Amino acid sequence: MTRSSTDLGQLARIVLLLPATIIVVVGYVLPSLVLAALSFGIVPGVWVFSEATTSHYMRLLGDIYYLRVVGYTLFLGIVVSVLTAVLAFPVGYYLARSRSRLTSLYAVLTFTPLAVGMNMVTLGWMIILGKTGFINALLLQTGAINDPLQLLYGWGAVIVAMVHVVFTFMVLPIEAVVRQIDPSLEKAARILGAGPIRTFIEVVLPLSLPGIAAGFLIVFLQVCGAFVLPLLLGGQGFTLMPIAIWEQITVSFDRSFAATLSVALILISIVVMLLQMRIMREKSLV
Amino acid sequence: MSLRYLSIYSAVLGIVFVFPLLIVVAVSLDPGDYIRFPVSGYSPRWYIEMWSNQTILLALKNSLIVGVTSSLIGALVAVPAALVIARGGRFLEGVVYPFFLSSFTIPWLVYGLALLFFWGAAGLDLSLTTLIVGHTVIAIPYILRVTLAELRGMPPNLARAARICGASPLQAFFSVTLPYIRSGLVAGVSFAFVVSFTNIPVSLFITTADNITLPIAIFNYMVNNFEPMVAAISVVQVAMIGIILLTARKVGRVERS
Repeated sequence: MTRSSTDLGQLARIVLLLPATIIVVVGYVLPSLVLAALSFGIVPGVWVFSEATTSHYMRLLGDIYYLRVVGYTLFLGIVVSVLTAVLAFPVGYYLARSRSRLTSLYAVLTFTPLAVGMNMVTLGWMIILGKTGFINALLLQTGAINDPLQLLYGWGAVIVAMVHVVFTFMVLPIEAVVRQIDPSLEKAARILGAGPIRTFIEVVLPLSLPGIAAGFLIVFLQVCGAFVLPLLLGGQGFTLMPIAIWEQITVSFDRSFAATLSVALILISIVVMLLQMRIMREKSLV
Repeated sequence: MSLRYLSIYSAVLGIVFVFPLLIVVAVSLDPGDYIRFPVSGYSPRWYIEMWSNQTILLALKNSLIVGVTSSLIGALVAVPAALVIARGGRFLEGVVYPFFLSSFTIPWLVYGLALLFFWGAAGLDLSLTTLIVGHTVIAIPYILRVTLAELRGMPPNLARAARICGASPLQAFFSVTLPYIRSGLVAGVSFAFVVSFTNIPVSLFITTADNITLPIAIFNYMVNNFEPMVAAISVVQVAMIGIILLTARKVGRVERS
């Protein structure tokens, strides 16, 4: 194939790539390196560097409080991912198979939490779950309870709101994967005598796994990095890794340890990504 | 399987998802001093009071500057890069492209922290400029991805035909390629603006009293004083986002015959 008339010269390619490269190097690569250096106690000034130490990592690994924070973060990630997958699958299946015009409206709808910003979503759930909030008002007025329930602050509130925020990341890949499943496969299973549940478990579900796995990864990473929502809906003492990092900066003023926690959070993300890639590869061999 | 039940289930879930947003609108009209439900009444009190709050006005102005500048700079650097990457090649696909997308993979809060340390190490004071750099970095992946998708869908002969007919590379780009990728580009840029306009984690550590952004101002309000004004500000923010997305849709609409 000849591309002579539109082909770019080597020089033109470099010139076109240069601006974006400069911004990403200065704005992202260098800051990440400074963060990594600081996690080892190295404070890079313009010329001065101080001595390296692994003491911050030792502190993280030896302190039960921070290990628990890591555990909570992973636990929340798994719970929200599983719950979202279960809740989103029927929706993704419906969107893929329905011929209704309303489905495009639905895609916009699941996307709204991302477009309106985290503060709006968090505020909404605070008003719904608060002591003087919607659910308590409803229950008090119907006489179901006499004293307001403590719904806000804690795991329940964080999980519910988090599922809401990440829902679209799960629905989109599931919808995409179900679209590729030939409906006649399901029909064949039904004709051969399988009930709807067996058809789902033995035909639809295995074929949808790549989509679910893709959604799982994005949701898990989103939950691990979530900050505003768990901070405000989790309340006092509800500490996840991003919140712990924030506390190191604003309360303890320990920049080095904040950097160490940040590197640990990045490592978790990388491990999860590698795990997912591995699982996907094994699945494709079967 | 019966799609009917699935449609009912989906609709119910959809209503649950819009509900938190509607309830913020209801509370924003409450003239009382604290957030409660049912609301004590309806009045535009907080919508009027927010405009005399100096912090909010400054934050809104800053957010508009940062959002517009970062998404436009993002487009100016991402589109040329996309033109090169669209040509393919193992190095471009396997190294250069993932490199530009890499800021996607680290949590925003961690990235914001890295920026705080970096500007400190470089001896620069935090300002609108330092904020814009961070927001541009996170804008690039969004714009690059959609632009690249549009370029890959474009028949390669279009630009070639323009060149054969005597157009210079720049003429070919502005009169053939740019109109072709316009709708995707506008969508990418407007989405990058929304990401910047609502971003809390990246800005959190690198905003001061001078370069405070609207989402950070709202966040501070939510942490410190929980009054209906915070709902009113959020509603105004969302209204602005809505206007921008709708305008972008109009601008981006292309008639392809």
